[in-house]
Amino acid sequence: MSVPTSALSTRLSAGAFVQRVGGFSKVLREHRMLLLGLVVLLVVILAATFGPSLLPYGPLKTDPESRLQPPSLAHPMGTDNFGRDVLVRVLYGARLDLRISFLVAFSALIAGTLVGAFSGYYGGIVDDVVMRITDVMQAFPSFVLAMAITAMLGNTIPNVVLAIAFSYSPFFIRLTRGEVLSARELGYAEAARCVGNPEWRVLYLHVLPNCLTPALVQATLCLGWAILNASGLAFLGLGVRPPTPEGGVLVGEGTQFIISGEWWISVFPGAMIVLMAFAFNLIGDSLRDITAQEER
Amino acid sequence: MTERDELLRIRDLTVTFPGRDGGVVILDKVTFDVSGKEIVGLVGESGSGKTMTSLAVMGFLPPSGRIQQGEIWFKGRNLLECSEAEMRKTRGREIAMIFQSTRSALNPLMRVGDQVARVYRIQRGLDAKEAQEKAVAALNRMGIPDAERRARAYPHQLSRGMCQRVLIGMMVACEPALLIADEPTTGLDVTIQAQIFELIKAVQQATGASILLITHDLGVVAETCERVVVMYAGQVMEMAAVEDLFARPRHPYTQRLLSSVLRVDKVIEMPAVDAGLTEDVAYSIAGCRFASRCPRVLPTCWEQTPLGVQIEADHWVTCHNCG
Amino acid sequence: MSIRQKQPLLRVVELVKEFHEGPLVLRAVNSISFEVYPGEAVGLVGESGCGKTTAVRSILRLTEPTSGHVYFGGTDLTTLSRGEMRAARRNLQMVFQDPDTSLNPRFTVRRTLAEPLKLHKLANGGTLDTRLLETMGRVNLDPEFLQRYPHQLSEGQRQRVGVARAIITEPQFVALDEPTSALDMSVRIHMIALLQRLQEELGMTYVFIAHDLSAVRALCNRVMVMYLGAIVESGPTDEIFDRPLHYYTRALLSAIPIPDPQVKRQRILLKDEPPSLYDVPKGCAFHERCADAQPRCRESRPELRDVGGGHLVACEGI
Repeated sequence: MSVPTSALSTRLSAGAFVQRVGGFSKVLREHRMLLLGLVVLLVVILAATFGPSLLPYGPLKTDPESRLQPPSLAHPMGTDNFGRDVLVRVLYGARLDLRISFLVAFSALIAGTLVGAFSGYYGGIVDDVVMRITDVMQAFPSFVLAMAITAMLGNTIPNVVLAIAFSYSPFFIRLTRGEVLSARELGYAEAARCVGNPEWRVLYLHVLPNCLTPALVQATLCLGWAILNASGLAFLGLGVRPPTPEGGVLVGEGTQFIISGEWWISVFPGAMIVLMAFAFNLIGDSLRDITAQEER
Repeated sequence: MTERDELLRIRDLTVTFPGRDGGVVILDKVTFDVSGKEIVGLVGESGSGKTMTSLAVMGFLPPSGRIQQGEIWFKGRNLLECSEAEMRKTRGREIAMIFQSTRSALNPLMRVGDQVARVYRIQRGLDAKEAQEKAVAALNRMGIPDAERRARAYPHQLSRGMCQRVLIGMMVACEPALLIADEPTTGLDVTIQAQIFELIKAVQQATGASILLITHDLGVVAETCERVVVMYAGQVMEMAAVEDLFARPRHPYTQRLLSSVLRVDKVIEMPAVDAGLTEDVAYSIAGCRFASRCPRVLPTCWEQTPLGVQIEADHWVTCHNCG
Repeated sequence: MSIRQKQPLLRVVELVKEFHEGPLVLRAVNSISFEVYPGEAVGLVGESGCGKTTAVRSILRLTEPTSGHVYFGGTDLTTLSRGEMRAARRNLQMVFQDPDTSLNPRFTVRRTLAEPLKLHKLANGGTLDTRLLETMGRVNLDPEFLQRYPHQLSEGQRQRVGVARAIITEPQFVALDEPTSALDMSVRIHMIALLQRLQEELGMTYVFIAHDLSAVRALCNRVMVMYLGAIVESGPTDEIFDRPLHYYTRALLSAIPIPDPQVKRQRILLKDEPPSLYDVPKGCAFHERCADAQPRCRESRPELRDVGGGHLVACEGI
C-alpha cells in the first residue's frame, strides 16, 4: 500500500514511452537485442537508400562481357547470368522488400485494429460475423492464403501487399478485439460516457489508444514475416516478377546456378533477406518483452 | 518496557528498500511488544509500514528489502537470526497470519473442508478421518451454518465472509500463540465485519492466543483492541492502552488523527480545507517524519529521531515535544 | 444545505433494473421511488448487493433501466434519445469510486478536464484555460498538475481530479460513488469538507452512495437505506442515525465500530448472510433475518410509510 501504482496507470504504450527520450535511451541500454536490431535495420536502410548511388552500375544494366563473375573488387557480390551487378540488385531488392513490409504491416495494423476495435466494442451481430470471417481466414496458413490471393488478383506489387496484409489482418483483429472487450467496461470508459461522449468517441479516443500496445508489437513482428512472405511468393513466381530486383526474385534467379558453382547469385540475396527478417524479429521480440514487463 | 509476559518483542527494526538516493527507509527503528493473551492493534494509514512490520515478523519481506538492524524476539528466539527451515516450523504452528484478500489465500482447487483438514493433518499429525471430523467441527465453531455440507464447497462458492471464517478456522487448527491479522475485514460489509470481529474475539478468549491486529480503522481499534500502537511513515508514534490513547492522546499525529476521524454517532467539526497527512510523505533519514506537518515542531525534530518516552505506565510517545 | 423547495430536482418513480443471465433474472433494483430537492445531499446507503450503485447508474442511464421513470427538472430521462441524453449529461455528473481506473491513463489532467467543456461547447481557447484554472483552484489542486498524468499523482489528488471533472460543467446534480472509501483516514474529512464547500459554491445537489456511514453523517441532510434492491427506510440524517426504526437499519448502525472505547454498544448481530439477488424472498425481503418477523411479513412486501417528520419506513411492524 505504500507504493501507489496500479497496473493500468503504469502501463506504457509504445507511443507513450517513445515520447520520453530519457526513458528511451535507458531502455536501449537495458535491452541489447533491441539496440542490435535497430542498428542492423538502420544500416540496411542506409545502404539500400544511398548505396546504389555510390555504385557505377544500374540494377537492370546487363553486361554480357562480365557474366557470372565471382565476387571481386569491381563486383563485391559478383555478377549474375546477365552480367548484372549482384550488389546493386541486392540493395534495390532490399528497398523493395522494406517498402513492401512496411506497407503490409501498416495496412494490416490499421485495418485489423479498426475492425477489431469496432467488433469488440459494439459486439452483437457485427462481432459474430467478423469473428466467423476471421475464423475462415485463419483456417488457411497465411502463406497459402496470400498465394491464392496473389494468383487471383495478378502479379503486381500492390497486389502482393494487399494479399499479405489481408492474410495478417485476422491477428490484429483478434488482438485488438480482445483488448477492447476487457477495456470497454473499465472505469474511464464509463466516465467518458458519463461526461457526454458519444460511443464512437469513447471507443476511438479513450479505449482504443489504451489497447494498442499488443497490436503495435505484433506489427513490428509482422515486418519480419512480411519480408519472408513477399520473397517466398516471389521465389515461387507470384507477385514480384523478374527482372524487378527483389529478394525472392534474386534467389530464384540464382537457383539454377548453385549446382554449377556460382553460389553468389542466390546466397547474397538470401543473406539480405535473413538479415532484415532477423533485425525485425529482434526488435519485435524485445518490444514484446519490454511491454510485457511494464504490465505488472 | 515493563517486563510482562511478553510474547513478541520488536526492537529497533529498520528495513530499507532500494531506490533513489541510497534507498528508502520503510521501517525506522520500530519498537513495540505484544504480550500473552492480549489483542494489540497496529494502526496507521497507507505508507505507515504496518503491513511491512508484520511481514518482517513472518519472514515474508520482499527479496529487495534489507533489514538494516533490529531484533524480533519471539519466545526467546530472535526470528531475524533464524534460518528459513526454522521459520517454516514457526509459521503456522506458533505464529499464524491472515490476510486481506481471502479468496486468494485459499486454494481455489480444493474443497474448504479438505483445506482445514489438511492443516490438522500436517500440524497436529492426525489421520485423514480424524482430521476431517475436526475440520467440520472447526467450521461449525467458526459459525458456518450447515458445516458438514459447506465443507464440501469450493472457495468460489462461498461468500467472502464465509471464506474469512474458513481461514480463521484454519488458523485455530494450528493453535498458534500469536495470530497476525492484516486488515481481515477490508472490503467486507459492515454487518459481516462485526460478525468476524466477534469471532476473532471469541477465538482469542477460547485459545488464549495473542492477536496483532493491523488496521486503518480507528473504530475497530476502539472496540476490539486492548492496546494500540500508532505508526506513521515507518515510525512508531505512540503506544498505549486503548482507553488512554483515545482519552489522552499525546502525540501530535495521534491527536490530529483522532480529532479528524469521521464518526457515525456525531457530526464532527469540519477543518479548514487542506490536504490530509499522507501526501508527499518524507521518508527522511533523520528526524521525526511528522515534522513537516506537526503543529508543535521544534528545530531538533528535524535532526534527531525522537526516542520513546514513557509518559505513564503503559503509555509511550516518541516525540520531542509531547505536551 | 437546503430550504426544501416545492419542486423536486429529481423524481424517481418505480425504477426497476434487472439483469438477465440466460434463464436467471437478477433483480438488482426492485422498484424504488424517491425525490431529491435542489440543494440537498442525500445519502444512499446499504451493503454490497443492495442495489445502490446500480440504481444511480440506472438513473444516469449509464445502464438502461428495465422500467420506471426518472424525472429531472420535469423531463423524463428515460424517454430521451441518445443525443438528448448526452446533452442532458451536462447537468448530471458523477464522481466515480476508484480514482485509479476512472481516469484515462493516457490523458493528462488537462485533457480529462477540458473534454467535458468541449463536448458541451461551454468554453474554448482563452475561456477554456480560465475555466480549467478556476476548477483546479476549487478542488485545491496546483495548476501545475494540469500537465501531469494520473500515475504521477497521489491517490487523494486523483480523487480530486475526478471531482474536478464532475463539477467543471457546473452541473445541477452530482452523484458521488463512495468518494471517500479509497482514501486514508486523515484525508477523508478533507474530502467531505471540500464536497461541502463545492456544494455551497456551485449550488449543486448530491446523491452520495456510501458504505461509509460516517461520511454520510458528515455530509448528508437526508439518508435512504437500501436492502436487496428496495428502500427500507429514509429520512433526515439525525433521525435515521439517532432513532432508526427498521430492524436492518438498527443492525447496520450497531455494527459500525465507533472510534471511542468509552461508548458501549449493544450490537445487533444479524443471522447468516443476505440471500442471493437471484432469489429475493417473497414478502418483505428482510424477513428471514429479522428478529421481529411476523407471519404477515412473509406475505406482502411492505410499502414505505411516513411515520412523521419525513421519516419513512417499509415495515409492517412499526
